[in-house]
Amino acid sequence: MKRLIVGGLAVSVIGLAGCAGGDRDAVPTFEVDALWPMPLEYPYILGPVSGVTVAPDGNILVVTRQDGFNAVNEINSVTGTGTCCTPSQAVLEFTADGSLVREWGGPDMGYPWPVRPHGIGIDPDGNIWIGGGVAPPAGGGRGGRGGRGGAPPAGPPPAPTFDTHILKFSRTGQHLMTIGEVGGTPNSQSRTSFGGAAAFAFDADANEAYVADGYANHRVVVLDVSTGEFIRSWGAYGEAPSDGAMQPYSPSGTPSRQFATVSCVRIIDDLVYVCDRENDRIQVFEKDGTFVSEGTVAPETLGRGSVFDVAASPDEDFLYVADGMNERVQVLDRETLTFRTSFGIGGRYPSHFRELGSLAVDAVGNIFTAEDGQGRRVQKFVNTGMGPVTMEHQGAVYPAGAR
Amino acid sequence: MNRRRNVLMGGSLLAAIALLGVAQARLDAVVQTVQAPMFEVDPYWPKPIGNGWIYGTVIGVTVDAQDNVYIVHRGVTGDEANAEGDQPLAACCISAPPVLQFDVEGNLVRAWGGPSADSSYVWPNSNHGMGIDAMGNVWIGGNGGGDSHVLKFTQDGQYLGTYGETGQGRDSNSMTHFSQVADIEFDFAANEAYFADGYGNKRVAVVDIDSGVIKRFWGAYGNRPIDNPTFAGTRTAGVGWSADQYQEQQFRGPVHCAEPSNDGLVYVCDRQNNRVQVFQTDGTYVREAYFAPATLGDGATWDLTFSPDAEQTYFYLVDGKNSRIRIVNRQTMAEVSTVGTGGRYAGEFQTIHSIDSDSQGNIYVTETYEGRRLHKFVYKGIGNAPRHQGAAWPTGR
Repeated sequence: MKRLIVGGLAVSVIGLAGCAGGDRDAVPTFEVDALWPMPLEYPYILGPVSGVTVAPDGNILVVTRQDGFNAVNEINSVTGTGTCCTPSQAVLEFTADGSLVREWGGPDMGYPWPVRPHGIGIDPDGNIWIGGGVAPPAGGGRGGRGGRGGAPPAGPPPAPTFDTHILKFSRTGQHLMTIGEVGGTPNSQSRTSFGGAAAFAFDADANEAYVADGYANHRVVVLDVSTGEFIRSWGAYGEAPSDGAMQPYSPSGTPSRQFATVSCVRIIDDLVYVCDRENDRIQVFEKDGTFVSEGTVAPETLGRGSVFDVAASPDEDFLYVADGMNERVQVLDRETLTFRTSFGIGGRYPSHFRELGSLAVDAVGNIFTAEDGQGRRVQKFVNTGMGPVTMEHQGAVYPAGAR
Repeated sequence: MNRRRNVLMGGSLLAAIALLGVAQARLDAVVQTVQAPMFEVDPYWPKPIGNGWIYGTVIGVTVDAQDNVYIVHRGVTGDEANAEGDQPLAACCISAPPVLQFDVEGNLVRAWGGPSADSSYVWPNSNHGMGIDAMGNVWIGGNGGGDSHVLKFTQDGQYLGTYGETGQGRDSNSMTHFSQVADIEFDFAANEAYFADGYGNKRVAVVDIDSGVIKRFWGAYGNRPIDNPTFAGTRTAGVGWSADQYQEQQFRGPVHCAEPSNDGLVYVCDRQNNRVQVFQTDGTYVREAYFAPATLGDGATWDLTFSPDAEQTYFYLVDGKNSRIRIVNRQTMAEVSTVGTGGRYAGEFQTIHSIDSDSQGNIYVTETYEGRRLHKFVYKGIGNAPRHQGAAWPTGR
């Protein structure tokens, strides 16, 4: 809490208010920018956005999935039934002002593109890492629910497909390396494959990559950035990871000794923050896997859980949680993991979310959120400085002039 | 670029089709301006509706004499309704009531509708389309099974009446019920309502506003409508369209709009035939025009509204399949410009469905399927507009 050193009075005021919990007197405030990024050229559209990251130069990169388009009513310029729309390529890079710099990537390009790409990170060499997930039914676009023209696929659901590898590319999309066995079987003990690697963090000094592993496995894996070789891994509480059967999460139950979906990993203040999604919790570790602490986020949340992704404010005082089940960004005190406020609400408008799944923060504290499923946007939230907020849950954060 | 086209389909035919489409898009992108109504999207309209509420597919819109905007939507289910039920999974979300009224500033002022608490009326199985009459009463159709009636409410949701027998099937010649009415508009001077009838029936039905009695009806070209027409034109993806194949003598349907103009004509959307047919108010056929005529599936002509000038020089035609609002000269029936593009951001569409306009010439469009929004485009007068105005973001962005 470096900021509090600045004024003795401020310290005492915040300290008192903090006793009540959910202190909202001094938190980062945000306004959505509905006009970011610039529209793609007709007839191109984004798919589900399954990862977002900010490059050191301030550009924003996203990875999108191409398995969710509704062939009946959405990609009409591909099926020849109309003139709109056509999916963009899988990876898009935008400048800070929202202009499209380049796009690249996807299936059938000479490398084993994941069936369900998820997570995008930039390593210390400036290269791009992309993970994967667990793909449900082949060819089963999820669009069209609730409307005509989007009937679900008939017949029994096919077996899921697992992405058990990670791809590494140059910034411009040249394939550099495939890490891990392609088309393997998830196994949290494996030293040679992954199970739906969901996200990445990098330790430049140690030349190590941290992998949130993942959708099928239940561990954090640390790799050599250059070679991709396995170095170490751990599960919840720093124990050996397990693939054993788990009880469904219950707010009143005994906390699981095992990770459910490991959907994020971040290095903040030399600590490793891990999202244990369905368990509604963040666990914090030393880099060697020694358990440090944990905190829950909206622990009454059931279903897919509340902790999809986390990222820190530039001063590392705050932690932003992408909560895709409650469709909001939860703002926590980073050191104590206590709740401060939230913003965002369910829906399709600016600062509304549909399947919020990941987020990233730029050098000046702006937040970029990515929506998977039927959300399909990357949204920019402009940091408007520290201030008080009146609402525990702020909901939509339209610019002041538009509220 | 070839690789990109092959990403999804792989098949060479489909890839070739897509390439042709792209080539056309690139040509369109060459900056070309035309004299046309210009629009600018308001990305922050309407305001958030609060209460943890969320829209489903927004399937009708209408604007009253005070420029209040009403929508009818279908709510959400499954993993979008996680806050519903006795044991909610999460804090988001809950379906808003089906009818929402917004004021000029975009504030939610009323929310009502849904099945009758005392069984005094039958809410449609699948509500669809709405209109508001000169008394300020709201009419709502439906395109679900057995939706053969139209409901009338006060603008604060008090039930007033049911027009047409409920629970009936298709009969395009019925004088007692409808079949899946898609939209409702009015000729106030004649005290008549025009029903786009619809998804089941293949006709325009003209109804006395006060009694709901069916006064007359007609099919394509003013022909007597039949329920299960056969069509001469077989259409194939990627094969060029030719007009002589498609003088279909019946509406292919859904008959998705029927809009009286102020000079005694009625404009009818024959959606899957990609055409607008124009009639006199007695059903005499006047003319037709095709839009994006190679469009398959859902079709290209979904709904329309007129420009605000006394002459109603233009109509604005919603094309949900191609994600554009087409600005059409009403005399020549030629498209002069378009607004909108595909996508999920402001001014971008995932299946636009319905349109209406206010007294200032602003237009409101809704999205069905997975779009699920109400958009406002602010009228900026007639001037040098791009041939395709795209997402129509405010100047400077």
